[in-house]
Amino acid sequence: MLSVDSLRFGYGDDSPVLTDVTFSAGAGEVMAIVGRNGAGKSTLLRLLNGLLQPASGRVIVNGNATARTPVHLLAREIGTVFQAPEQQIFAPKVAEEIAFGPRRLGLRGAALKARVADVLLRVGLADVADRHPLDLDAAALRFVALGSVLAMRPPIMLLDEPQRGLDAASLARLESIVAEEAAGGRALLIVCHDMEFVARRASRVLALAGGRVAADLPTQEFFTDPALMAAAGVEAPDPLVLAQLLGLAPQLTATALAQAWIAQRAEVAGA
Amino acid sequence: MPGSSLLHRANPLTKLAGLVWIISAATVLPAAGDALLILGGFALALLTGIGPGVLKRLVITLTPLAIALCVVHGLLIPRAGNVFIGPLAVSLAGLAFGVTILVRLAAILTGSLLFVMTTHPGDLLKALDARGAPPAVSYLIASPLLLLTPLAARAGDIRDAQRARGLDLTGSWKARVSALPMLLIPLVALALTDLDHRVLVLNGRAFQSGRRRTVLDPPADSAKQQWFRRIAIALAVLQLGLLLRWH
Repeated sequence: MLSVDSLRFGYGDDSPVLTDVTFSAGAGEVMAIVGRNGAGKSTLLRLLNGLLQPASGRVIVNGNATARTPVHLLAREIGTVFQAPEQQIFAPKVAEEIAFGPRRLGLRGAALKARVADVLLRVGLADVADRHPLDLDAAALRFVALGSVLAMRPPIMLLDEPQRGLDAASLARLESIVAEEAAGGRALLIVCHDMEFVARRASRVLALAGGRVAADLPTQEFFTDPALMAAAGVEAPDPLVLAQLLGLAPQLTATALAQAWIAQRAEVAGA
Repeated sequence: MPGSSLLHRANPLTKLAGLVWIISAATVLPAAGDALLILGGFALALLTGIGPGVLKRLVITLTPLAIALCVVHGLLIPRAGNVFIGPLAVSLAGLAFGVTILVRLAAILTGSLLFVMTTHPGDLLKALDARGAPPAVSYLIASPLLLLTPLAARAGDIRDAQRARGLDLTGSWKARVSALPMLLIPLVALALTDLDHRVLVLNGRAFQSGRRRTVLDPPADSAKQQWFRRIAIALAVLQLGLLLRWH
């Protein structure tokens, strides 16, 4: 679905931001892209959606090389939710903002209305469909941006720090959307600094360090290698740390940790 | 534009005083004098290393203006003594007037470009603060310049965000014009919503406290530059005074 081969990129004459980056992402995969600030995560997203072109190497999005496909056509295959959602909003109503993308894809009439209504429900904005997006709070604005990309139904979605600034309820909604999209066969690549979120939702972790791929592993494997986590500048999620302290096998989520602990207690009681 | 020329290193207020003099001189002088101002300004730009940048901006800004002035004053406004070129009645007096206006604007623009392209807005702000200018005045003068860079960066981000949603900015002129609202509305809306935030931040930092602020690293100044400023401002006042008396 998405393949990146020997990618190299730099801004101007400075040392390259990304060197020899190779990975691929398939349908239904949720890949977290992690690394320190300045590791090249957001730059990588811009290379994936064609906004930037690599100095060498190639990016293939659903069979289309980004070097040969205009960005507006790539948008059918790969949708991007940027860090600052307010930067894309221009329509006077939430519903119109969400309709922008599918309308550009040629959707009209009842089909367009149905698509927009469906997305509004999923992102929890049905009640504010007629409000001006800039009248909404920051979390709702983030869901407007997410909804505008969901409405285009691209096979691949790039999310840049989607969980930033969300309260617990909004975060739960985001996680449920991520899970639904993955279950629906989309590939999601999420730049994220929140390791709890990564541990709960990502199936794989692509760690960048010094502009190179430091790790491309299943989430559990990544979080059980302290050297890799140190290289990527990330800390282990709390459930994993607690599991280690309790002498349990590695657990990535609070639920899994609780279940493992209960099982261990039952085992001890039984013995 | 970065550089280390004498003009780059001069105190921003000195350059501002020079600009005031150029504006007043351009207003008073005849077209030939304004042309000399342009030549002098451009020579200074070449010495400073910003010649190509100044030339490019002059051409981009003045070409449409020159066309408009020629059409309006040479063809559209009726004057005596027209010369007929084919079906067109061309007014030589109108053209001469248009050229006078154009050269005057070019002289003012050359001076402004010399100032803008060799002065960082932050340095201008520091220089004003160091001279005890009221914060509101400093902010009023410097803020438009300070906003240019972030606004340009934001415009780029907005363009990228819309392209990533399928907006085609490479098609026909019609398509590009119809895409303008999708680029301009977020830019303007964000600039307006930023205002509130900016005001709160500034007030939260005692912006209007009224006390003179201490500038940790004020731009270098000298007695010579102070005298230059006094003379430039005095000349500017004198020139404008003479202009008022003659008219």
